[in-house]
Parts: sequence; C-alpha cells; structure tokens
Amino acid sequence: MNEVSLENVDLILGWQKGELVAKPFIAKNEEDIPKLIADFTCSINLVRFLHDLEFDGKAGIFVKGCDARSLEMLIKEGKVDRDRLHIIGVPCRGVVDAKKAMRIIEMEGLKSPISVTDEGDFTLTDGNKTVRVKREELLASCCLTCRSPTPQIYDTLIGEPVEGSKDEFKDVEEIESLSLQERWEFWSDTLSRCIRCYACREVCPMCYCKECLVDPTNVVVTPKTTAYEKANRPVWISKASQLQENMIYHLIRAMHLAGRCADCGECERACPMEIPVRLLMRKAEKDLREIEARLAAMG
Amino acid sequence: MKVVAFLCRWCAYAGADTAGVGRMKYPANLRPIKVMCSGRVDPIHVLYALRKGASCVLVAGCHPGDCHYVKGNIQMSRRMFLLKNLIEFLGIEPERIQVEYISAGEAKKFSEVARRVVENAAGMDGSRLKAEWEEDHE
Repeated sequence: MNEVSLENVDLILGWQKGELVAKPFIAKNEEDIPKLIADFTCSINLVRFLHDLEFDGKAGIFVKGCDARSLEMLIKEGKVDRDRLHIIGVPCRGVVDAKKAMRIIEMEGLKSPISVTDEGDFTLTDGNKTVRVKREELLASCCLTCRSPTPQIYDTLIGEPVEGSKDEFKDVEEIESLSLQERWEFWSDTLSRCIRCYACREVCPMCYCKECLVDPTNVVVTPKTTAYEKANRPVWISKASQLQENMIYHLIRAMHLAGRCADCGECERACPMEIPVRLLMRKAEKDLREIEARLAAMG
Repeated sequence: MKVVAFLCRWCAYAGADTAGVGRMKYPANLRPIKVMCSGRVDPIHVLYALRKGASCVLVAGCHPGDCHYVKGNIQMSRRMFLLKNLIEFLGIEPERIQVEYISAGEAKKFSEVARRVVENAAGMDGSRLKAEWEEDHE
C-alpha cells in the first residue's frame, strides 16, 4: 500500500486480512498501514461505517465500484460530507462469496485455516488438499452483473481500471416469466423463511433512518418524547415473522431503496436464511430503467 | 368485500361529494378516506389496507397538472406504478391497486370508477396479502 498514507487524513477505513473474508479495519497510525489489504476477499461495504464513525478532520476510505456507487448516493443525499473524505478507489474484479466458499469447503472436507488464491480461477487449499474452483462459482452474485467495478468517484485510484459487464437482469426476467401463481409460490416459499432479524437493513449503507417505518421494535425515544407519543405510535406491521408481514417488510424496503440501491449485495451476504433480497431491489431498478428509457425516447 | 379509496381533498373527494349532491349511485363497498393530497398516500397505507383485508385499493387524485400542490399526483402515480410492478412480481394481482384521476366536477366519472373498481374486486378472491390471523369483519 505505497499509495496510501496518513498525511492529510486522521484515519483510514480499510480492510485487514481475515479468514476467507477480510475484516473491516481502521488504520490510525503509520504502523497500521501495511496491515491494509485490497483484494478479492474484501467483500464488506465500508461505507455504512461512515454513519457512526466520529472523526475531527478528514477520513480516508477504501471503496470498490459498488461501494463508490452507494457513497455517491449518500453524498447526493447530504448524509456524508465529501470534503471530509479522502476516497481511495479500488477497481474490483469481483469478491468471494463466503457462503458459496463455505459450501465448497464443507463439500470437499477442507480444514481451516484455508488460504484462497486468485489465478483467474480460484484455488482453495488447507495445506494437504487443493481444490480449484471456477471464478463464477465463487464470486458473489452481484459481482457477476456489476456495471461499474471501477469507482466513479475517487481521490486516489489503486491499480488499473476494470471493464464492467453488461447487466441484462436475467435473474429478474426468469421470475417474471413465471405465471402469477408460480411467482406467489416461489415468493411465499422464500419469504416465509424470513425471521425478520433486520440484518439486511442494518448492513445496508442506504438504510440510515434512526427510526424504521416497518420495524415496530425500534423507536427513537428522547427525553422529550411524551407518553402519548410512545403509546400512539402507528404500528404499520407487526413484529411477527409471518409470511404476509415479511412480504410487506420486503416490499417497503424495495420501495424505499428504489433508484438508490447501489447493488453492493451486502443484504444478501448478511441474510442468515439465504433469501434473495437483492432480487426485489433489482426488479425495481429494472422498472425504473425502463421508464427512464421510455422518457428519453419521448424526448 | 371492501374497497378502500384514498381520495384527494381537492379533486377526487370533491368529485365524490358532487356525486352525492347529484344523487348518483355508487356501490357502498367503497370506503372513502380523505387525504390532503394523493401524494400523501404512502405504499405502506396501501399495503396495510390489503393486509387488513381490503380486496382492492383505489387511489384517486387530481388530473395531471391540476394538483393543488403542483406535483403530488405525479409522485403518487410514480409510486403506485412501482408498487404495482413489485406486487405483481411477488405474485399478487396488480389490479388490486387502482389509480384514477378524478376532478371535482366529474361526479359521473367518480360513480363509474367506483362501480368498476368494486366489480373488479368482486371478481377476485380475497387478497393474498391479508394476514392469516386477521378476523373477517363482514
């Protein structure tokens, strides 16, 4: 990390080496700099930490293409001050999906510690046994359709820009081609699994509301909140993790993220029940693009 | 069978009023809710109605360009378009959400729309979004 220094920033938000997936790391002094890494294990979107991070001067932050998209949107919405950031862009060739990797490790019976190397395809090894895995089989699904793997906003760019692939929304079209009944069966099967842990909301860089419309359990109570206000808060959906409630929760989240979602895949990564959360966001994104194209054609 | 109608205070609700003054008939299954602007209707209001057992939801506002608050009805139409697409994606009939533009003078249009929406709702089974434990208040 020669390009990175703490010269004009207080701290750098970056990644450090972890098992399989890199861990978030805050570099505060020069000794920490060599610990920073930026490779295919850095799947975590660091942008969401900016909401809670306290610093006086400037902060440096590592961003991949998708992280940069979410950061751009947050700057646009006035949630993050661009002048107080030093953005270090990392062109990304895709990150490893830990769940996919775990499945392969279990299937092959590898023992930890496992090291993963990227040579076009991935190689997993625990010292005794070596498994070669195709690139597409280990990459996170959002990386396979990434439009801009190279950050669009940055102050420093590390490495060579990477060309994006074309996103044709194949996964969305696959569901769209089903009949109404089949779609209902698919989604009721999928969403009845949801335990409403709100992990998808917690990790989302775009979900920064202190109080969530579809979460009756989190209420911001200040000393000024009256008993009346506490008692008469509208409760739009119940806490129960029941199918219809789950559907409304996911629908509202998709509505609130429509046109803002950076498609960083963080929600899917966080989901303990392996629900394709991204699919709904992508449907909204696809529709918005279609409208945009239609409006552009009209002139 | 019930239909919840969100009517904007300036146009659609006034249209319903005119229909009443003109003694025009419209089905009693329609439950009007007065909102200051159709742009105030949040997707959660619509989904809440469907969850509580409404068969259909009608959102009616001023004609495009006539909004009392300049562009509230445009925002409503954008929001409802997206919500319709999303519920269709989940396998719920998109006809459950109806968007109409009714001005204060269009009493006849209001009663026609009301009849059409209620007939449409009668032709469908109960809403799939209705929570299983919700009681029937028929």
